[in-house]
Amino acid sequence: MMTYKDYGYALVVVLFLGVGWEISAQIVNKPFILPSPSGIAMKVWELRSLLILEHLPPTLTVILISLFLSTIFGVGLAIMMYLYKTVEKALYPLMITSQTIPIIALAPIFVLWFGYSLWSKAAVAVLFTFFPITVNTFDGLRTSRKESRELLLTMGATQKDIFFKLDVPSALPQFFSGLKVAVPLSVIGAAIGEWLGAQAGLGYFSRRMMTQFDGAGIFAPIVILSLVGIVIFSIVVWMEKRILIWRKEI
Amino acid sequence: MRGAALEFQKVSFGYGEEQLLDNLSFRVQKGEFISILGASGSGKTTLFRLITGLEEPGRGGIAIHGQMHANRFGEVGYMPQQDLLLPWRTIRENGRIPLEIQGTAKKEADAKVDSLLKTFGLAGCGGMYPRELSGGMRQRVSFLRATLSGSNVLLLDEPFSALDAMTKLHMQEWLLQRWEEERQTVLFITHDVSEALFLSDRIMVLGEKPITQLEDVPIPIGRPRKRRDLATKEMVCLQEQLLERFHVDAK
Repeated sequence: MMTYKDYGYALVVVLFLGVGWEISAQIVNKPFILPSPSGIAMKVWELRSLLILEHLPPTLTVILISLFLSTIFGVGLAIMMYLYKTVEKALYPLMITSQTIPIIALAPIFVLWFGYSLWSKAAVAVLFTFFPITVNTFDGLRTSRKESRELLLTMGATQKDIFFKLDVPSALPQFFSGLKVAVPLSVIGAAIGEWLGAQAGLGYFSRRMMTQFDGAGIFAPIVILSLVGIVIFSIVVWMEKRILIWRKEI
Repeated sequence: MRGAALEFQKVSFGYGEEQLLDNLSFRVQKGEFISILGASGSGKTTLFRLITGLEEPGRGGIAIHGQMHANRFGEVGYMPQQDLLLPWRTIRENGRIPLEIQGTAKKEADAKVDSLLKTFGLAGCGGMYPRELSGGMRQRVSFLRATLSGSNVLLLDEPFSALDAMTKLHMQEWLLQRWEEERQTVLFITHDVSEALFLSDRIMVLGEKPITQLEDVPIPIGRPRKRRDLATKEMVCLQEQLLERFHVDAK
């Protein structure tokens, strides 16, 4: 368990960096290139209703949809690869290859397919997030022990019994690791998706500010994006702790 | 005659080229406590894999309570060397796995496990997780689980080998006491001669491969037993003989 003391160290580093940044920004004194943290904070406050009411909802929708889709798709694929060797052989190399493609370069294709709708952004984000979920879940399924499987067999267990009583619980910790990696990736994916074309969204807003040379305006939505990532991550950690209560240290 | 709980009828078995069992026949009566003694790699575990149904004999048949089953899964209770408790399940949930598999309703299964916890020295542990229990207690949960699966033929595969010496002695006495109350048929794999002498009605010794017969060694002391019964001259001689055998085999 992390205690306030553990967070304390990180806080000191953040403060240290923040102060350093603030001082350098004051010295450089070109806020359109290097906005100061205080300038960014003021910008967030100034734009709060615009950012949160207008640009957060579409981005959050893309993030949540992409996490949902890649969980369904990733877990489904992992299960298929685990149950059928042929599927594993056919799809595993393909899946690895999909990760060697620069997704940012591929994103315009999605715009061609799905237009400037929510789905083109979700597709980009899913391409980022399904991989860690699939690989972790697949590896998790494979951690179930042969000895336990045989023991269940001697009790008369069916393949279904073994899958639900042994394989699935064995895979859960790994699945959560994958999901935790996927959360920040979904935020990145959504922002990149919006860069390519959107009418609203935090990524879109950030990019629009770039054309206006508004340094603080670029960072303001990024702060919100980062907070969104932290909140969703914390929710996943909370779920993980509740579901994997048996792992808790005594 | 009490009838056979387990019978091997001319069983032959091997992995690939290597022949392990050749035309092997033996019987275990209902309510007997049998130890199977043999050096490492002598085929003890293979015998258990055949009985549980994890392996099928090449030739011959295996009857449990006089019946040949096409599929022996679920017919005997198997207690493996490691406890293999599922860490995400509480003790109660671990104990009820065989009942779940048999299709018993959860509530009923829980009630059944709860009624046994005290007898197995696990009172108050139902809601705990395996990591919270000591090695000896985990083995008791494993034993409880085995007694709930299948008929009352129990296969115990070196269940105490991973325990420390004191816990091991304690668990042997506890097992003997449990058996004297329930009189289930027990097959107990071990390579510990004094453990086999203390627990069993007779010892079956595995010889060289391929195994064509099991050497039967009856234990000449009655029941209930105390550990000091092992100190009689007769028992000490028997122990010497058995140890000598394994010494020779090991060469």
